[in-house]
Amino acid sequence: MPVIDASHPIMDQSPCTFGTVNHRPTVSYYEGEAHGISFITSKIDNLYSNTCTHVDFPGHLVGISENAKEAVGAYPLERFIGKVLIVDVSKKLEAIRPFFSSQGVISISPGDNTTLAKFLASLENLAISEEEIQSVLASAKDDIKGILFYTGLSSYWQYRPFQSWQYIYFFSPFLSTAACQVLANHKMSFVGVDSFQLEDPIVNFRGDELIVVLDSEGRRLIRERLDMINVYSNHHLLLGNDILIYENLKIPVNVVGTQCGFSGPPLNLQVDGLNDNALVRPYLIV
Amino acid sequence: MAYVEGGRISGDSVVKKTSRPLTHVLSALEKETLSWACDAPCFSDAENLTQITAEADHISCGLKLGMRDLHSKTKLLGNANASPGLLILSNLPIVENPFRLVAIIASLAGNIVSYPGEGEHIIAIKAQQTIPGERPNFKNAHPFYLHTDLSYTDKPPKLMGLYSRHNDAEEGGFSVFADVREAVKHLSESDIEELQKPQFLFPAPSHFEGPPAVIHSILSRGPKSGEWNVRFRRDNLGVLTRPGIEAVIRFIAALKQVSFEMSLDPHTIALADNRSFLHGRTAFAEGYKGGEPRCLYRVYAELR
Repeated sequence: MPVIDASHPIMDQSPCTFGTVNHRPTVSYYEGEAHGISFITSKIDNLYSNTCTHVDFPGHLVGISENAKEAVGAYPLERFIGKVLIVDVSKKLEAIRPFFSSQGVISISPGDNTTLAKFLASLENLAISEEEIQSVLASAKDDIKGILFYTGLSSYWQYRPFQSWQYIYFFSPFLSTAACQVLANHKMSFVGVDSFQLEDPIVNFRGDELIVVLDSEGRRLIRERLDMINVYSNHHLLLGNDILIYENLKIPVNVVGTQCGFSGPPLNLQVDGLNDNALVRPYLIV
Repeated sequence: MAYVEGGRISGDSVVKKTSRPLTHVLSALEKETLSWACDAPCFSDAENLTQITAEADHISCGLKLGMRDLHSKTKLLGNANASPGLLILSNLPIVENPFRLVAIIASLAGNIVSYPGEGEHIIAIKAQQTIPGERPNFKNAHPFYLHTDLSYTDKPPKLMGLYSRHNDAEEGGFSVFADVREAVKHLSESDIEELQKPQFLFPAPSHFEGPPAVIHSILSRGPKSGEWNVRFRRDNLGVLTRPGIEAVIRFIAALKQVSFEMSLDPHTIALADNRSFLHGRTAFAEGYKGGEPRCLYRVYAELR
């Protein structure tokens, strides 16, 4: 029964992320408290609950408390285990590849407003439509617990930080609003993606970054879209309908298009208020 | 956010927002007087900034009588009950030694201070190297979200001055400001209560030689004025409770409602009350047009 590890290992380095927070875990060692036998135990500091592969819960957002349990360990194990469908959405990236180098770094210069406008427009082609999701669900052989989206972006995973707008790993295909609703109606337990997040990549911008700061029209467009997305983001629509989200998965291409077993529970952490996200080591059973 | 597209502050304010900053365009006489003051023989030849600030303080005492209008506006910043919070001075003279100019103007408003581990009294803000993942600071060109200075010290300075020496708006680097007294109007009572609790961890940047972090509230009331004061820096902010981080997220949304952006044209200085006004900047393209790279000078003062 082949088992495939669907996680990126946590290392003594920054995960593939953006932002200024230092995500590098630090380890210290202690003597275990016993007599007669010498034990060693370790403590990990600076380990964020969204380091590397993790699952998002409704508590990840402000204001979605109705579905949020008090702690990640309070969710029943059955939520994280079951059959999944692995869906190929990698071809959608063809719309934005011309704007990145072969190493995945954006190749638009500050001040090249024409190319920037084309790039911002191309992001809409990353949306996964309602029809695509309905077709996926119709093709499922058994009752599935979740859908994992294969983008192929995990090949760009590096242990270092980037600027959010700079690297292709953060520009993933995402679900349209209607597609999210279909999943909610289907009462899907979770979705997952082998990229940074299942989210409209317009959120990689705030409107004051180097690549956009010289383009007043681009800044206006970004701010408009961000204002609209505020309550209609994938995170709001999915987590708000109690659909958990796995991020930074590692999915091999040979399981794409198949249905297989999946297991990805978090640790049994029952600390009140610890309900935002949790580290996981999910695996596929093929 | 009210947004200025290519806006300038030079006499005619084109800032579109809920409240305008106080502005003062130097008259020809004031400009000439300041220019003369910067070349005054009482300035020693030494470039020692401690000496320059002491000499500037001495000079400013004399200037206060001759430049009543300018002085009265700078004094308003120290007005506990009705501080405008932000004063933009434009049409400053072009002088050889920007440190002298900055020191004289800051001395009109208060007593210049320096902080151990935070550099000289007056420092140049000029990008040297911009590394992904690094916190925004005065040596890189990262966007710097709205913040108050020295949030990671027990007693941040009351006045922060930013003198624009070289700053091409076509390279970005727009300054962003927000008045916390306006932002608070967009917050609920419970969020205001949370933000007043000492539960926010402000870690110091790597260049700071003082303690690594402090724990403080974000909002507080001024002891004399009762006005809202703020201490805030978004990057790397840690919060000890869930209600606290939720209040921070809503505070950021409130700041978005009241913040405004402007280009600090060369030979303009922004004097901000570091207790009530947050400031920030967008990213900027270093030397994109091949001209002088962006260079501002920063000074701190205690208001009288």
